Order: sequence, then structure tokens, then C-alpha cells
Amino acid sequence: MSRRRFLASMSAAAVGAALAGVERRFAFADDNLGDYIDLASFRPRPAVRIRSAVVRLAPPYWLGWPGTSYDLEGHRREYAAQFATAAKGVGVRLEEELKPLESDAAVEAFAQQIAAEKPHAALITLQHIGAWGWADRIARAGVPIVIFAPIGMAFTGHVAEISRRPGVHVISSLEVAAVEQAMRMIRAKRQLEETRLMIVAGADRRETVLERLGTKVCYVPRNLLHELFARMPVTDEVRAVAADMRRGARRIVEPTEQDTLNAARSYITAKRLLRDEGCNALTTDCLGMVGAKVVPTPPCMAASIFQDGGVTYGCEADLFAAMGLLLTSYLFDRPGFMNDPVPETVQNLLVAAHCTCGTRLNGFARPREPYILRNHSESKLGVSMEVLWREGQPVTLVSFQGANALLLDTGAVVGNVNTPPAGGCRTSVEIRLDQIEDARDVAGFHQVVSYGDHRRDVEAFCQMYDIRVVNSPERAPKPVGRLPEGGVR
Amino acid sequence: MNRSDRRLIAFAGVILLAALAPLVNAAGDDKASSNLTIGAPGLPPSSVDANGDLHEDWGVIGLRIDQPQGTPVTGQTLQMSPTEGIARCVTTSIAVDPIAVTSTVYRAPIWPAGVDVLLARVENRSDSEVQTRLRVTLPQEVSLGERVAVAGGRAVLALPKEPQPTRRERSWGAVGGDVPMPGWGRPEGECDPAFRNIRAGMGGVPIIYRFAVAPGAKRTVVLGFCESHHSQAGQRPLVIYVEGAPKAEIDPIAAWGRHQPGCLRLDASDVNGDGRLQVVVAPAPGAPDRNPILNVIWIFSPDVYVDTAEVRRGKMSSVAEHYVDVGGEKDQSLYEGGALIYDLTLPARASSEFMFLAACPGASAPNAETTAWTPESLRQAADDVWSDWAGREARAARAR
Repeated sequence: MSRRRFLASMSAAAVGAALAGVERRFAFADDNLGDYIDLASFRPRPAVRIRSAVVRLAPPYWLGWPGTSYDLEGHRREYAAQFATAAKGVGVRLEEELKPLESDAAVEAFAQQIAAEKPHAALITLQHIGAWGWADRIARAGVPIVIFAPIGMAFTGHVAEISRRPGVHVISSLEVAAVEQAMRMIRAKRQLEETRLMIVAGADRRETVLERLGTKVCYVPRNLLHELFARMPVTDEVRAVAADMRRGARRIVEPTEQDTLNAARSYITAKRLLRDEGCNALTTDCLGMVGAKVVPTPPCMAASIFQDGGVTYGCEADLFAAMGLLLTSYLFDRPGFMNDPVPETVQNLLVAAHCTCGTRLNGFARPREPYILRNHSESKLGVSMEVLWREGQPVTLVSFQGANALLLDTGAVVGNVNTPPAGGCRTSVEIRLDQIEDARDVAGFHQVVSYGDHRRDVEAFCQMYDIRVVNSPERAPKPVGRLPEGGVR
Repeated sequence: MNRSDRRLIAFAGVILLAALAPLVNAAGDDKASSNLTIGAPGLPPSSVDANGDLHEDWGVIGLRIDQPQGTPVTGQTLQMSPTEGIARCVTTSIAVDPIAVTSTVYRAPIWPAGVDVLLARVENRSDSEVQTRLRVTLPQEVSLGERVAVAGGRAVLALPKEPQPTRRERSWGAVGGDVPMPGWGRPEGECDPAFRNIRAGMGGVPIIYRFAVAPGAKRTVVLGFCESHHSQAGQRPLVIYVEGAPKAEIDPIAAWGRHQPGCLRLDASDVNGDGRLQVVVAPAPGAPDRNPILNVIWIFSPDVYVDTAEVRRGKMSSVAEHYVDVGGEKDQSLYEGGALIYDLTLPARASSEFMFLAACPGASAPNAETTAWTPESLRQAADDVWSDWAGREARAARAR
């Protein structure tokens, strides 16, 4: 039999059988279940390379902006130092052109160089108002471009078009922090590309890649998680995690000590499965497992610890909700809160409600917000989180609509809802929306809410990577009426 | 284990046969049994036969050289995957001197269910300019749009932007790119039965129809809508461009309500004199739901008195020049199906490469107009997933 004939004889049925055997091949040993796994090791730390250059007309200048009085070299040094510090903090490598680009030839050479090298982005600092043509040339090199134009380098007419172009982010400002956020944006995209998001649901195993975002979506059978949980012993780490969560709580209402131990086992189990599968984040069919009574606790407390550690743990195997959590985590270095949107029609508020929420809402390295340990309200099982959000805090809501569009809204926290008297979920945050006339019109489901008004930062990310931004309707719809037949509005 | 470790393992796991298979006659027998399975981890497989034809659950797609004529010579190269029996990539060469066509087929595991990539490279191996005709064979029942082929309401093939195939047009039909959705509408009250069906331009694709008329002719166009998804106005406002008529905007919910059929009358004319009357339904700028819908089209002679209430009730369909049950059984594509013909002129020693994306089992082809996937990113996706798969197996083996 020829090699080709042999290969051809492998029918689709045989291939199916081969794939059916994958679970056996992927089976991991049971020993060392209690090994310590560093949660931080799951957060991707990709190499991010940004080429940077100063672009300006050749000095000295006489009249024209930035003006003869502008300390060209002083500001160049000052910004370079600030950018270097920011790059170190964000964790990106900034490769600076030592000499400013001051001629057509120099700009062309730089543009061609980055087009060939394909760094993850280029950062251009403009030092003359007449250099926008050169910025435009570099922006057409096919590499994401951040253009920093300190005040004095642009009129509105210079930026109106280029600042809205996909693949470009223009910062016309003295806010150097915006450049740091731009670096975080480039890093976030790389982190999304390096993330393997494990979806624990169903019975099949497969892996696919998301358009534009590049995230790998790894489906693994649900039974792996609850069977691993059943074998997970109460280790020193389990006891320490449970004790820490109990100690940190403002109050413990329903959960027993055993409940917190189980919740901590759930946390260790998730880490172990994540490591075994070589993934960086997860979302699980948690309600399905609770409904089938294959676990004694939902993973709500575990998910909260993951979120605080910068590692996404989403609910209900909702892929795009988990993508929203990943975006918030990578873009702003703080946990997001995946929730169900509930209308409060008397005060015209949105209540964002779910049974798990990170506590380090101000940032991974910042102190926790107060939380109360509760049970999971729908099942009266285990440990869930009631996190108390700070009133007055601006918030941002994001919700991926597939990989190519993102729903974006903003508002401010006005309070927290107690359960009881309310039903629903333990963390219930009241939000007054700032560009939506009627809270009933908030679009989407399982939106991800995070501290801070990040509207422009999210818009910048989406523009850079060509993701369409949509918003909930600003105006309430007109009552349904009737037009005459053939009527045209 | 880091990423490069995984790649190394994957590389070691790949058996590159790279051996040119014995030359196979294009009309070779025993084709079904000699098919090679292609796929990606966890996704249902497809197959490629000795001619390089890709066999999907919706039909077979193949490349042929119609011009120059001659007996084609075929060869095949395989790249096997670490999962036994699955080819990662099958490359088939068909040559009719001086033209050589190389098709490369592989599964790109894009979310949600993958896509089969068919890269066609047409090469002129002579020292003079050559005209060639390449035929992409497709099932007769596949309906062809400008960038998409549809079968049974499913987008099965995304077509390249360039080159454009030579197409034979019918007297009327949908340009394509949208998706027929029979039974989507739930019209209430007495109305034409066509209100039950729609086409939807998923992802913002406009719904476009063209009708043959005498150059410069005038017609009365009536469009029928029935919104059966949204309950609130403002969700799916539509913009209507009918040739010769002012642009119109309609929000079916605001105008008539949910499940309520309604009609919009416009006076049309073939203003560009090309003998085609064009009807376009597109999403209004800023529409939260960017998937335009259309249920019915009636085209009337201008000397027919049109009562839109009667049209809505289906009482005037018999006197219409065209009555189109959009997305229904008798709806049709503007272009005849069966095969795509590409007439190419290739300079000496030049080549041209283009990409088709074929729906694999259980999946649809991506929207060619809006997709961000490129040949490079699709290949990268396949490489990444195979690497991960191999790495995971190796890690499990080590743990055992």
C-alpha cells in the first residue's frame, strides 16, 4: 500500500475515533494535587516592542509653533525620561531613535523600517506643527501608531482626520499619563493575543481563535473541573485562602467555615486545571454544575480571588463576557464586574447584579473595597461575594458584541442594593448612566463594569484595532405609533 | 513550558511528507476512497481528493484550468498533523503548460467552528504574456453573490475581492452577501404571505437587488417590511436607496409596530441608463442593530395605480412586473450558479494569488466584506492551535 493510499484509508470515522481518544491522552496524574501554583503566573507577560521617534522640522525655529521660546531639547529629554519610566512600569520595551527625524529621507527610512520590522507599535512625538505630513507618512506604514503632540504642535484641523483613523491614536495634550495608557493599550492587545481562554462547558474539546483579538478559545469538558474538585484535598493553602477571605470580610452572613474551605478548594482546583490545560483565563458553566448538584459550592469566591490577581475567571461559560473581563483587566490593570443588567425605574438607575465580583476595584495593587461573605443567592449554597462599591465612583461598562464590536457606556455609582430585601444577586450596584436618558434602554447583557471613566481609552483601543464601538441609545425611543401607508420619515 | 517550547514540540510532531505523490490523472477513479482528511483539533473534518477538490458538507469546490486546453498534470504534497490521520495542509498542483495552478487547502480554526482556506496561485511559466481561464467548480444549487456564495440559506464560500469572476446575470435577482431567512417574519393580520420571509444583511451588509428594465425606464417600487425581532423603535432603522427616488428612511417599528407588515412606495427610474433598476436596503447610520432586513419587493409599471394597502394584503401581486418573495423559495441570485469563471491575463513569469474561505461542517463562511482575517492571520491561527494541541499532549504525557 502506498503512503498516500495508507493515509487515505484513514476515514473520517477513524479520525473521529482518534479525536475521541484525546481525553485519555490529555489525562493528568492525580498526584501532587496540593502543589502550590502561583496565580500571577497565568497572566500573560508578552514581549511588547514599541519603536519611538521624535519628528520635527530641523531647528532652530523662528516664529511658527511651538515657538522660538519653546525649549525643544529640554522637552525632548523630559518626555523621553517620562516615557522610559512609563514603559518600565507598563512592561513594554521602548526602542528610541536617538536622533530626531527632521527630513523627508529620515522619515521615509523610519517608515520603511517599521513596515519591515513590524514592531507592535510606534510612538511618535511631534515637536513642530509643520510635521503632521511626516506623521501621516509614518501612520501609513501598516503598524499601530501613537502620535503624541504636546499642546503647541497642532490645531484642530491637523488632527481631525488622522486622529479618527483606524490603527492610529493621537494624543494632543500635555497629559503624559495618556502616553502610558497608550502603552498599556498596545500591551493589552498583545496580552489578548497571548491568552488562551479556557471554557469549561459541554463534553467536547476544541480550540479556536477569535478574529481581530487573536485570543485562543479552548473548550474543555465540564466534568474535568468538578471531578478534579472532588479529588482536591484540604491543603494548607486551602486553609490559608479560606482564613484570609474570612479575615478580610466586613461580615460573614451565611457561609460556614466548611463553606469557605470548599470555596478555597474550588479556587485551587481552578488553578490546577488552568495549569494542566496550559491556559491563562477561564469561564465555567458554573450554574450548570450547581444545577446538576455536582459541586457543593459555586465558584464565586474563587472567581473573585482570580479577578483580584489579574486573572480572568468569568461566569456561565459566557465567552464574550469573559472577553470583556479580559479587556478590563489588561487595559486598566483592575478587575471588572460581569453582571446582569437590572432596571430601577423609579430612580431611573441601572442595577448591575451578580454573585461574584473582584474586591480590588481600584487596581490590583490597591487595597480591597469592603466585602461581605454571603451564600450564592439563587442556590443558597457556598460562598458568594457582596462587594460594596464606592458611591460617586465613575464607572465604565463594556460588552463585546462578538469579536468585531463593543458596547460602551459610562456612569457613576450611586449605591449598593441589599439582598434582602432585594432578590437576585449578592453584589448589586446602582449606577446612574451619564449618556442614556432612560436606564431601561441599556443595551446588552453580562456587561463588564469597572471603576473609572474610561470611555475615551476604550474608544482609542477599539479604533486602534478596528473594533466598532456602539453605545446604548442616548434618547428614549418615541412611543410606537403609526405612519400612513407609504409614509416615509 | 513557554511558547517556543510548544512550537518546538509541535514542529517535531509534524510529519512533513513533502513527497510529491505519484502523478494522478485528473479523472482518476476511486476518488471517494482516496480522499485525505483535513481538519483542526476538535472540529469535524473535511476532505480533499486527488484533484485537490475540497469536499464539504454542502458540496465540492475545485479548481480547473479551462484555457489553455490540454491534459492536466496533477501532483500533491501533504503536511500531516500530530493527530494521526488528519492533514494540516494539502497542496495540489495542476499544470497545463504554460499555466500552473497550485491550490493550498487547510483548516483555519477560527471561532466559532473554523473555516477551510483554499489559496489558489496561478502562475505563468512562459516568457510571454498568457491569457488563461480558471474555473472554480461549485454545486449548481449554490447561489452566487459578489463576495459570497450561499447554499440553503447558509454562507458557504467567501469570494476574493480581486480578481472578479466573469458572471452570467439573470434578468433580476439579489446581488448577494446577505442571508435568506425563510420563516423569520411573524406578520399579523391579513397580508401577503411573502411577509413571512426575509433577507438579512448580517454585519451591516446592504441588501441589493437589480431588475432589468429598458434604459431610462420608470417604475413604481413598493417594498414590504415586517419587523419580528425588536419591540422598540430605534433599534433597526433602515435607509432605502431606490434608483431615481430620493433616499428614504424607515423604522418599521416606529412606522407600523412589531409583527405589523407595512409597505413603502417609491417612484423609481433607471437614471444611469444601464438597463438595471437598483434597490438597496442598508442600515441607517448609527443603528444599534446593523443587520438590515427586507421582506417583499413589488415592481409595477408606472401606468398601474398602486394602492399600498392592497399591495400589503397581497391583492396586487398578480399585476406586478416583479413580485419578489425576498428570502423565499422563488427568490434568486442575480448571478447564475454552478461555477465561477476567472479570465486572467498574466504577464511573463508572473503569478496571481487569491483566497477562498469555505464553510466547513457545522460552520458558515465569514463575511468577506467585513472580515479582518488575512491569509497570514489564518495561517497563524492554524499554527497556534496545532502548537497548543501538541504542547498540551506533551505536558500531559510528562505529568503521567
